[in-house]
Amino acid sequence: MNPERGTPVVELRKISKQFGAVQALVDVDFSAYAGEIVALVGDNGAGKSTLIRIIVGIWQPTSGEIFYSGEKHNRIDPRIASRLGIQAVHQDFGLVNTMTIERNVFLGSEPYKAGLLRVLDRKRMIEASKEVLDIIGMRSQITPSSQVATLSGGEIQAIKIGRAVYYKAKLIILDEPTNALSVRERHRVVELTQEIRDRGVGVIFISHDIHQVYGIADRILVMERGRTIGDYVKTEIDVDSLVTLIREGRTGKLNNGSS
Amino acid sequence: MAKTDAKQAFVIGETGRRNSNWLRRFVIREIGAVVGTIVLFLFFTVMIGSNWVNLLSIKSILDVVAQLGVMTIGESLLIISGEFDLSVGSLFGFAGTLFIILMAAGLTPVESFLLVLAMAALVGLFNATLTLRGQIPSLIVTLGSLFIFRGLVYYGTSGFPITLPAGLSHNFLVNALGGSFWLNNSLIWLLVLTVVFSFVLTRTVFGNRAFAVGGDSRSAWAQGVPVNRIKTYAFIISSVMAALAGMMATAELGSATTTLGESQELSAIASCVVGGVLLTGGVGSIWGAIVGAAMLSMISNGLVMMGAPPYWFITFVGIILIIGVLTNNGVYSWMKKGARQ
Repeated sequence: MNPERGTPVVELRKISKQFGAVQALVDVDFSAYAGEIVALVGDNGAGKSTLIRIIVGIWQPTSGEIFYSGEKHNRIDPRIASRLGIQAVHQDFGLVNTMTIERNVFLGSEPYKAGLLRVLDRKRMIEASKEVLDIIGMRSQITPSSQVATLSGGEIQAIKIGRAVYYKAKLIILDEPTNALSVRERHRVVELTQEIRDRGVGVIFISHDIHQVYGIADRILVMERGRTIGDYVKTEIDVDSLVTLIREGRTGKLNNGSS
Repeated sequence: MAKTDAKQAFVIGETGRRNSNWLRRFVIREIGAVVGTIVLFLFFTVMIGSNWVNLLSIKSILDVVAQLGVMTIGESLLIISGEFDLSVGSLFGFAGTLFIILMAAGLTPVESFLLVLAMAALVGLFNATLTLRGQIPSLIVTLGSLFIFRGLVYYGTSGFPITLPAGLSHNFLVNALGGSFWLNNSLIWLLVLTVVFSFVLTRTVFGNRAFAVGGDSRSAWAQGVPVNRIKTYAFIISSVMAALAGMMATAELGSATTTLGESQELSAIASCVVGGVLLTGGVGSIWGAIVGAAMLSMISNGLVMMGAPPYWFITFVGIILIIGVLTNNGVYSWMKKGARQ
């Protein structure tokens, strides 16, 4: 699309997803680039979650093609997505509450010393946790041995983002990262999102809060009933037109006119 | 404003958190089992006197404790992984019975032992497959297995005790399972297996993932943990441990009865709960569960020594189980809350 930005980290071509009779996504084209925050907006049921679940391999598309850094991959799962540099930060899961930060950071790809028993490399786990806490600037407040259940919602979101950065993610998907957070923590998560963008990481940011999204996004993708109805560089659209577009959809004015 | 800042500092401040952690380091989840065991020990010592101390050195009682303990190792590991196994008592009985039947049929003890372990591994795989692929709660699947294997015990014994073939009671393996070289061998099994599985649970990749799938399987899965595979291993370990304990029992007794291991699954689960293993998964330790098993065994023997009818034991297990769950939940949420303040 934009040659000067190089190859997109993820490119979707004509992706459709059907659940029985429900058409969740219809011929969606979408690209995400490094060092850019692209916001995904739209009402409930617009297909935002379906889209990102397909990108991270939780679901498979019914039809269409997906390219990761220019390479076509047909069937992937979250593990492969993670290896390809795609990390998703979900709003309500990602860290195991009953475990410490240190034990969560490498979950699923734990470092171990050679041997049949695969003995954990605790030293590396603790070092990595400290690095994650450094990335999000919380090293002085939280120790790697803190149990996740004792952390606040904002701290948990921040750690998930920090972990994704630590994993050298090329693209981080933030699914409603500021839901149920206090104003202060919301602000911190937004700041953190911009920090990782400035590190050259691509970000897909999903939120219901249009004003927040408009504040931080470089590009905005609007969805309605499984279709993309707009793909704007922020300077192309003002926040009021964006709100109107989401509220009324592409066909909104027509409907209003007829009723 | 100043007030808010002060509170904020207290909430996420370094010293605040460290202090509360430091305080709460004394309160471990296993505290109920540890304190309960000590208190009950003193109680029975005072009530029963020297007979009690003698009783503790009786081999058959220690063997029962060890057999329950070995079974509890597997059960605790499985509960930590977020599933249940109600079939361990029946499998305990079936494994013990099959061990004798195979040897009576002419197989060597070593062959019989290995075959029974392999059979148990298949049972674990069966329980796991139905639970994970069939999406049936493990409580129901293993309740089915409980009946199936109890039925097979009746079939195998024809309702009467069957005995170890003559001449095998001095076999090395049979002695290693149920005899005594210099200390009860069953206790050595328990000790070694507790150390091994505690290590596996706390220090290996598998252990880390077992805690993760029990605590929050969705997060674990999203991070790439093969949830079903981890749980399947846990089911298999649970079944194999129960079978091992069952063979230890028949090796020790020299016979298998239809009631071998009956309702032992409840004692194993109760031991876990009393020992601080959270029934919802993700939290607990093997050594805690073993202390729980020791406590339950002590109650059962202590009650008998005090002259209480044996059926009181079941009532007691029930009461202790409920108290255990209540204290577990209480301690857990208190620790969480404490760390937040």
